[in-house]
Amino acid sequence: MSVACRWTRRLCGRHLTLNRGMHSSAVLSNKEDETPKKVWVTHHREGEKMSWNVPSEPVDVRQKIPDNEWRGLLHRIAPKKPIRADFMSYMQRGIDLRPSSIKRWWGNMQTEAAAKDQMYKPERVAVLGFELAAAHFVVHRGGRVRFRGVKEWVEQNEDEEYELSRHYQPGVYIEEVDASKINLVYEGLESMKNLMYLKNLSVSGCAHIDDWCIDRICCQFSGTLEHLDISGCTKVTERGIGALARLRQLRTLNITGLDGVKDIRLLCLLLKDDLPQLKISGINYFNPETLEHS
Amino acid sequence: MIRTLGSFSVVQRAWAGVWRASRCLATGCSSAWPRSCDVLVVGGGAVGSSSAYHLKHRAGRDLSVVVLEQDSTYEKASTVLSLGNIRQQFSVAENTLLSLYGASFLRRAPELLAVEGQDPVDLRFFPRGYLFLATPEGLKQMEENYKQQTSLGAEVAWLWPDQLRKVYPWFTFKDNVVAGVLGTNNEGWFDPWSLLLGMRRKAESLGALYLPAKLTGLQYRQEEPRQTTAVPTRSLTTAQVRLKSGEEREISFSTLVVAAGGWSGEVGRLAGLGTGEGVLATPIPVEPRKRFIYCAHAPDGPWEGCPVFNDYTGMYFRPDTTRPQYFFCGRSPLEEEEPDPTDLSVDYSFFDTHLWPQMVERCPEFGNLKVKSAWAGYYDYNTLDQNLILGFHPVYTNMCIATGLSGHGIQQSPAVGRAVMECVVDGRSHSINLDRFSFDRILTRQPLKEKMVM
Repeated sequence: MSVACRWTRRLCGRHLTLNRGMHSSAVLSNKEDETPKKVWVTHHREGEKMSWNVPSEPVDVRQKIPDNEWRGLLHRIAPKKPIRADFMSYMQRGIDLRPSSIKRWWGNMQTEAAAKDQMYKPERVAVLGFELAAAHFVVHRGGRVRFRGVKEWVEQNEDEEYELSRHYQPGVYIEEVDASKINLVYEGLESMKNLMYLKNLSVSGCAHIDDWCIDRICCQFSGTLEHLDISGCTKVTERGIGALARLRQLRTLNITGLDGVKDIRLLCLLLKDDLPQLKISGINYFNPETLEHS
Repeated sequence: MIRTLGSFSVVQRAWAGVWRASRCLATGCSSAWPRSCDVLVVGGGAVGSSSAYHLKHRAGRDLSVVVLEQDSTYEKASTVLSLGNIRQQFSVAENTLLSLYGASFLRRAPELLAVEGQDPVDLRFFPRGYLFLATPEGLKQMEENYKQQTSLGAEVAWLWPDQLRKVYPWFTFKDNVVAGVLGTNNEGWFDPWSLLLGMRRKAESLGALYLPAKLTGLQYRQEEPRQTTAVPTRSLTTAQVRLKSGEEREISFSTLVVAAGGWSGEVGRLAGLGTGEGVLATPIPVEPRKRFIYCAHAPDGPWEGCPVFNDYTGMYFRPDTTRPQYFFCGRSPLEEEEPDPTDLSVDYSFFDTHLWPQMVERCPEFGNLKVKSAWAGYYDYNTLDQNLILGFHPVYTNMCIATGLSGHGIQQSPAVGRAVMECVVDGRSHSINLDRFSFDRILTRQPLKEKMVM
C-alpha cells in the first residue's frame, strides 16, 4: 500500500472518529509498532490544582513518529502521532479577520494574560510566606504597600526597583495596600490571601472589580479591614454593596463614581444601620436639583 | 428544443429549489428537518443546554448537536422554578468540586456566554453564604465535612455557639445546636432563568439546534460482543419525535444524552430500561417529586445579612432580596408525606404544619409572618441516593445519562455539562473524576448519599 494511502487512512480512520473512548489507551495501541510505548511524565501545569481525584493515567501517551516513516508539512507542527482531533479541529476553523472580532480577541487575550499573571502561586508563598508574597505581588505590578509599624510606603521607583526582603521574615505584617494602579482581577485578590492585619485596601479605578471580587474581599478580610476604597469600580452592583455588611470592622468606605448603582442611597443608609461606626464618602444624599426647586 | 410552458416552469422550479437548498446549506440554517445528528440531547433545561454549549464550544462545527425541548416556555422545568442557590457545602467530595466549577463558570459567564450583537448575560449573583447547623449527634460528621470542604478549596468558616449568637443575634437556640458552618465565598443565589437562557442562546449561536418536539420512541441495534463471555451490548440508532402539531418525525443519531430532569426515568423506559431482563430490568431511578416554595412577608424578620439558613430538620429559608422583608422558605417532606406530582398545585397547609413552627422556634420574630404566595416545582429525584447519575449505560453503550441531581442541579449544571462533553468526546470525565457517579452503582444498589447535608 502506498505511503500516502497509509497516512490518510491513519488520519481519517480510527484516530479521528469521535466515538467515545477516543483517547483511551485501548484505541491508541498500535499493533503494527514494535517499539515500546513511552509514557510521558505529567508536568504540573501552572495553576492546576492537583485534586485528590486527578486520574492516574498520564496526560500524553503519544509517541513521536519514527524516522523511517513518511512526514508531511503538518508533522513539523504536530510531530507526535496520532494527531489529536482538537488540533485538527483548531486548524480547520476559519480565521475571523473582521476588525470587531480582532478587537474582541485582543481584549480576551489581555484579560486571560492578566488572570494568568495574577494567579495565586504556591511557590511564591512557600518561599516568602503570605505577607511578603502579597507585598511582592502588589509592588511588582505598580502598587504600594505599607507594613505594620512602619510609616513609609514601599513602591517601585522609576527604574522598577523596590526594596523588599526576598526571604521569609516572621513578624512582618501588611497594614495597607494601595492597588489602584494595578489592573486587579479576581485572581489577583486570591494572591493576596491570609493577610492577618490588613486595615486599608484601595482598589479604586480597577475596572474589573465586580460583585464576585467584593465577595472575595469580604471573605478574606472580614475580621480586620477598616478602610475600603472602591471608587470607580463600575462593575459593582447593588448586590456587592449589600454584601459589604460582612466587613464588621469597616469604618470608612469610598464609593465615588458608583452613582449608577440602583438604590445606592438606600443601601448606604442600610449599611450605616448595620455598621454604626461606618462613614461613607463619595455619595451625595441630596439631589441638588430637588433642593433648588423646594 | 421546443420548450413548452409546462417544462419551462418545471425547470425553473427545480432550479429555484436547488438554489434555495444550497443557500440554506451555505448559511448553515436548517429549515429542512435534521435527519441525523451526532449528539441528540433529550431535554433543554440547565443540564441539557450546558451539555450542548460545552459540546459546541469544544467541537464547533465538527459535531452536530440537536436538543429536544418539548416546551420552550419551560413551564414545568425544574431549572426555572428553582431558587437558584449555590453552595459548596457537601459531604461527597465530587459535589463540592462540581459546585466550585459552577461558581467559577458563573463568575466568567459574561465573557463565556457572550454573543455578538446581544446584551451580555447578567446572572444577578447575591453573595450571602449558606449556614448549616449541627446537632450534638451530627457534630463529628459536620467536622469531617468541614475538613474535606476546606481541603478541596471551598471557603467555609466554622462557628461555635457563642460566635453564632454574635453574628446572628436574632437566632435563638438552646443546646440542640452545637456548631454551625457558614460559607464565606462563592455561596449565595443567582437567577436561574438568566443562566438557562444565556447557555441556550450561546449554544444556538454556536450551531446547536433546539427542536420543540417530544421524544416518543427509540430504536436500537444489537452489537456483536467482542469476546464470547462479554455482555451483548446495544447501540441506539434512531429516535421518534412528535411535534406540537402531532406530526411524527425521525432523527438518527450517534450518541444520546439523557438530560430530561424528572422525566429521565420515562426516557429510559422508551429504551426498555425497566422492562427488560437482566441489566435492562433496572430503570433509571429518577422521577419528578414536587416541592413547595413559599414566599412570606415577615416585617420583623432578620432580612438584613441573613444567609441561606438550613436547619437540621430540613427546613430552609432565605431572604428575597428583590423585596424588603420577604423570605423564601421550604422543606423536603418525609417519604410518607410526598405530595402528588401530577400537577403543580400548592398545599398551603404543609407550611402551617411543618415549616412555620420550626421557623418560629429558630427566630421568634417570624411569629407574625404571612404567606403571600407560593409555587411548586419538580426535583429530578434520584430515588436511590439523591445524587447525580453520570456516564454511559453498560448495555446501551451510546446513551449518556446526566440526571438525578435532586434539588442541587442548577448550581452543578455547568460542571455536569462539561462532564457530559468529556464523556462524549474523550470517553470519560477527566477534569473531575466522576466514576463514583456512574450508573453501575444503581445496578449494584450501592447508594452514595449526602451525609447530614440536604
